[in-house]
Amino acid sequence: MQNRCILRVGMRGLIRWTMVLSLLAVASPVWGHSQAASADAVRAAFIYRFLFFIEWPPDTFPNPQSPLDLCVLGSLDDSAKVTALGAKRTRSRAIRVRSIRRGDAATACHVLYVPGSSTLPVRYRGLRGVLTIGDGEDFLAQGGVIQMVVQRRRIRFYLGDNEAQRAGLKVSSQLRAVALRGRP
Amino acid sequence: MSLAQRLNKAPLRHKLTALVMLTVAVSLGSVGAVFVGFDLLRLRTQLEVRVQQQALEAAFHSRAAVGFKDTAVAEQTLQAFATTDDILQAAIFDAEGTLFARYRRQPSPATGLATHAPAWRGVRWTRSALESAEAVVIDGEELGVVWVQSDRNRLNTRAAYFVVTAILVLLIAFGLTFFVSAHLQHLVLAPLIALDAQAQAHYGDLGAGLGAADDESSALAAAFHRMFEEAKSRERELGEARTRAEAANRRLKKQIELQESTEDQLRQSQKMEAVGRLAGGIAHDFNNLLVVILGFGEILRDELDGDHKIAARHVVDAGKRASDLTRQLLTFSRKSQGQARVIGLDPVVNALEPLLRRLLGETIDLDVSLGSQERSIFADPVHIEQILMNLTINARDAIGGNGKILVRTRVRSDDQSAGGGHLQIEVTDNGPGMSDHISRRVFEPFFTTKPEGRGTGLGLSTVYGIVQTLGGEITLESVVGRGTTFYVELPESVLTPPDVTRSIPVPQERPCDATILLVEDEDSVRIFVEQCLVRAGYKVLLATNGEEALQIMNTGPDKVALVLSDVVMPKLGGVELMERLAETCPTLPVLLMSGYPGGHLDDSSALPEGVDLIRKPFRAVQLLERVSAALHPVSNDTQQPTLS
Repeated sequence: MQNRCILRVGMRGLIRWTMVLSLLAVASPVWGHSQAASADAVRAAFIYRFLFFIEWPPDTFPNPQSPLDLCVLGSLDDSAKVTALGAKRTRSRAIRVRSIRRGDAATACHVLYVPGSSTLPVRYRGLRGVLTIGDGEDFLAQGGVIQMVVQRRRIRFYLGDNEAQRAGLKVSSQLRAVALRGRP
Repeated sequence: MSLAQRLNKAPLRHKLTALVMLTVAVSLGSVGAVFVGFDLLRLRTQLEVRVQQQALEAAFHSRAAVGFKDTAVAEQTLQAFATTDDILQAAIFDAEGTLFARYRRQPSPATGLATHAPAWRGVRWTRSALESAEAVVIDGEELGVVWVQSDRNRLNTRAAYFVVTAILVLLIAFGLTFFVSAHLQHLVLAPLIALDAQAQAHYGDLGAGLGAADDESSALAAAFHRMFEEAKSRERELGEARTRAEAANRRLKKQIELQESTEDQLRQSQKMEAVGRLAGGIAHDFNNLLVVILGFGEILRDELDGDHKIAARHVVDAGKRASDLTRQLLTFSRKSQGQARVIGLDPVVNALEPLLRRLLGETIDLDVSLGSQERSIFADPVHIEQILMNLTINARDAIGGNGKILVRTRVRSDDQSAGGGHLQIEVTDNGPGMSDHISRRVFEPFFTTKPEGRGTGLGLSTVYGIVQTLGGEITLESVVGRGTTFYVELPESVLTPPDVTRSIPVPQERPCDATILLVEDEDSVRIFVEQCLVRAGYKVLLATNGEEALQIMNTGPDKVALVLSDVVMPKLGGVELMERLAETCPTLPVLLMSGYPGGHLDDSSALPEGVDLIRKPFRAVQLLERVSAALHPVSNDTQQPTLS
């Protein structure tokens, strides 16, 4: 009598766990993908916010309405969220998103985003009037201005003061206050 | 006792103090309320602006923190409120409305923290605090909301401070006002209180008088009321007294005028009386002289021839003129009665009209208007003629050229009843008129305005004398430049005039051998009369006064057929003689000779029967006629007036 009870309980538990596991199996790829997509969106949002708090050298734009060129290293398809910024405007400038490839001649970019672990192309290191943003671990060391990192599941960033100064960019104190202290 | 009653009973100084303090309280209170109100309103606005600024600043400084979702930096930003003394708490909400960062002042306020983002923006007051909510905006995108809560106590504290200050100021002001008004009200009220004390002393306590209040002012008002009443009553009495006095004054003035007028008349009549007496006296003596002059003159004239006769005629003519003058004088002195009888006024005037026209000449337009309505007067018609002639001649001379004279007779307007009234003769000229000064003297004898030699000055005085004799009155109205009117008023006779168809007595030739007793004190006159009578054939007995005459009569009364006597004589006058003779010889005729009857004879008509009067001066012919008539009287009943 007691065994039957146990058996019955065991049967029910087995069924339940099976259902949970099977749900997990189906859901896990979806979860992982969703998390990655959210991080990209935050990065794109960060890049968009950086544009507001950075001031380019006075001779960079011919006029206040001149569009801002946002260049992305690599395929635009890999950086869909950043590419979507092309629909937005910053300080009344239109944002033009372009893709550049390593080895291309340095073109007129105001912002260069280097996604993933890619290194900053040499031509753009310390290039005046270009805000370089990257995700790579040594991006600041490579001469980039802003390096985004993930800390405690939150995206944060380092700000290279010297690099920014070398590129002729003025960084808002508010942005500096939000940036992580020191260098990675 | 209610408050209102107590207020009524309160003395004036307490009321004044209360009034002053109330005024100060109201004015200070209202002014203070306005200032405090403005200040609190300003403070409220300041607080609102301040808290909104705090919220806006926090929203601005937390842009990056909110944009990059950095809670630590956001809270660090909010921590800046710790330096302020009024921000109680603050919070930042993200775009989704969830709490992102917060700040709480230590010690933690009792009011609850907002747990979700406010939907409103700006500033709002709650029961216990002032709040503001402002959006955190980056590049036009609202990323969140900053909410700030400020302490309301600051406003409350300020208000309480004001209230306390206001109460303190009011208290001080009250104290000062009380002090000042208590000391200064004496200045205002002292005269009033003194007046009240005087009124009380005068009228006693009048109690609650007129006003609603019951203080010095009401007592004063009562006193004043009483004073006014008394003054009014006094004024009324005064007015009545004045009216009485005025009436008395008017009466007095009238009396004075009357008296002056009477005195004036009296003086005038006295003057005229004196002049008349003088003239009469002179006339008397003159008449005696004239009897002699005329008498002997005529004898000489009759008996002389040639140049002597002419000279004697001149003497007689001059004597006649002198005789006329003395007669006029006598007329003026009212001693000449003439032959008065009852006559109609209008017939006399009517009969005289042609003569007047001739007298006045072509240059004068004479208008005669008769209106005495067949009424009669008692007078000698000669006198009436004299009146008219003198007045019209006087008028003519006054006109001195072309002019108009109106003669009017009428019954005096206020005397229409027949008998006992007055008839009026009115003579009006349009000459130059005369001044008051002249008009007062025109009736004086020898007063004339005519050139020397033209007038005797006796015309109007003669008129005056006649009128006086007739018991009438003469007045005149004269306006310089317009003319003069004389009014002669004569008493109307109750008798009607007799028929004019009377028999003229025919002198009868009688023997002139009768004995005549001649009584005359003037030698010359006596001699003249004696000569006349003797020449006419009469026997003459002579006496120089009445006593002598009586002695003669006593010795041989039977011989004397007529007594011819002077009137004014020493010892016994003619009238007295006549009266004595009337006792002893009632039938003896007496003929009186008078140059100036004086007081001896007032009215010839009053002479008793058988007594006649001949006026000096007379001529021999006239004397003999009268002597003859007296010796042989003719029955002439028709001459006696009859009652109508």
